[in-house]
Amino acid sequence: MAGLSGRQLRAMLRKDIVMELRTKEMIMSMGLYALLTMVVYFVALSQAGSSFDPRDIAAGLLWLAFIFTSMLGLNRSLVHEKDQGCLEALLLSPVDRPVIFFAKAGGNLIFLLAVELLTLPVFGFLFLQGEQMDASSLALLPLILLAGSVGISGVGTLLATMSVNTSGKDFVLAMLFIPLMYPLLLGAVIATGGAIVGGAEGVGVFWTGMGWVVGYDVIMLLASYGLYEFIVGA
Amino acid sequence: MKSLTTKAMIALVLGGVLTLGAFLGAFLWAGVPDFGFVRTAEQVDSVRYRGPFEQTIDEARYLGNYVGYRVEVVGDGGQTFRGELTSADEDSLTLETDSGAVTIVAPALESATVFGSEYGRPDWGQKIFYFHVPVAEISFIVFAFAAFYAVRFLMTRNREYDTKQRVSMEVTLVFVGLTMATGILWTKAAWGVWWDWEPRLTTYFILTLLVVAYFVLRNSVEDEERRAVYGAVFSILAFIDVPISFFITRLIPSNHPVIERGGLEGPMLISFIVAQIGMIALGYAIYQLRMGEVQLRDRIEQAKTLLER
Amino acid sequence: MNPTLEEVYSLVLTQWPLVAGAYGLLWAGMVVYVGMALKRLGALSRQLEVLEAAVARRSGNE
Repeated sequence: MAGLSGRQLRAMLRKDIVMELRTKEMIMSMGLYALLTMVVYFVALSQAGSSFDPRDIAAGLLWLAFIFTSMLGLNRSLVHEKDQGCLEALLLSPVDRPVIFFAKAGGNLIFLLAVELLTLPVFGFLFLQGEQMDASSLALLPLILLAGSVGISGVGTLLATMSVNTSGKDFVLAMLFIPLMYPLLLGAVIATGGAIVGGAEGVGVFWTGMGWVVGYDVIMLLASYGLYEFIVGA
Repeated sequence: MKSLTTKAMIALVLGGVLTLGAFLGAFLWAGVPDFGFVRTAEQVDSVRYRGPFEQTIDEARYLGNYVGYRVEVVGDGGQTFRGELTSADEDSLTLETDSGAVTIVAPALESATVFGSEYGRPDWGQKIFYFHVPVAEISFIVFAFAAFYAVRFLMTRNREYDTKQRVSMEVTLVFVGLTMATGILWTKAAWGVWWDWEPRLTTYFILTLLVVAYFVLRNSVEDEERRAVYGAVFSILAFIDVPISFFITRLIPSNHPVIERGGLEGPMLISFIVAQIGMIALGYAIYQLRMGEVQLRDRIEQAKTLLER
Repeated sequence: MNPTLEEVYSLVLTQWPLVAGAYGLLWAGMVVYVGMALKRLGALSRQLEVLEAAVARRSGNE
């Protein structure tokens, strides 16, 4: 059974990735959206003057971009499934419901990570040029990006599956998503801030935030995994 | 149906009497605690005398805070001066003694003792606590019931549990709103600001948003079965915030006060407990009233379909 | 009322508008919500009585 569901999982993931490689729609829309967010940041910070340290707010700005971009992506990915009747077809096929959850969440995770990897250097180039950075603590960044994205795509997939069937799709997703994401966002910003500031203290802060995010991931992914069956069945 | 409203009415009357009693007890019987204490009566506009106060200071620079007080200064040569402190900084001290003004230049003190009075400022904001805390507790408890009914609904798919779950969430919304309203006013009274991004306030604000989001979600789903399932699933997810909000003040540093065992006594404790019981009764009454309304609507629908046939 | 309380009550209070506001909101919220629920309940049960009387009449005629 395990081998079978592993094959099903791979097949469903491949379907998402092949479709994406053909149209490049998700990456394009999410990436451009992230870029537009950078423009908005520049406008927002244009009056701040040169006295403040951009490293202090870099973590918050980064996760703000990620959270809004991910909402766009989540909404799109499930609207596609629904419009093309793909989800219904999957439900008719003899696939375990948890496999559907992991496949959808996995696909969303891959796209989100791709967009984050594209956004990160652009953000650094635009806002953090010439700042003192600690390379050894920056090396920790991928960890928090991965942990945060796992939570975002796991819970987000569950919520987006609900919100595509409502009349106010994207607004309902935002309303459900942002309050539920609050603990993860806070932990992720704390950890990222620690990694950016660096030094022994920064690394300590990083692991505190990392602990929060991992704890949140474990609890919320278990809950989402358990509840997804009811959502797709409804 | 009749028995439902009877239950609601009994709970309503009981809750009304108990909360009114607790209200009177909180204001007429329980005392007013001190909100810290201040050294000069002029600092605040409502104070009460707590008694004399005396403090020993070993460095001259700290004396700057006590201009206007009676002090006894002992220099390092052993000489002693007593009088009212008229000015103090790092370079010199000036005392108004009985025999005229004395200025000590470059003071090197053995010790200085400040004498004054201590005044308590009655903490009227604390009166909000008697009802703010019970209302907040009920909001947590009713939310727990809503999550319980959500689990029961997902297990049995019985529509009755969905109704109970939705009505519980409505009661939660009422109590969350009242907690927020009383809490914001208490924050202003105790901390001097209307809002502070402090762990308990933040997590409770998130809880409020989650309860609102629950109704947004329900109202935007057309299919009845689907609405029930989505509501149940979301309320279970949202319930995870309740233990976080409850325990966060005990886990990480927070300005929000926590009731400790033995922290309250006598009339205060009794008023508080009566308010808690009364609020539980009121919460139950509101829940039963709303359930009665839902059931009445169902029966009206049934009668209408019978008549249309 | 005990003497200490009387003395305290005679002092000027800066916090009283907030305390009064909190209790005002609390009681007003409760009373309005319960009152509206009771009113709806009354209207609905009157409506039900009329409907059930009509149902009974019709089933009596048949």
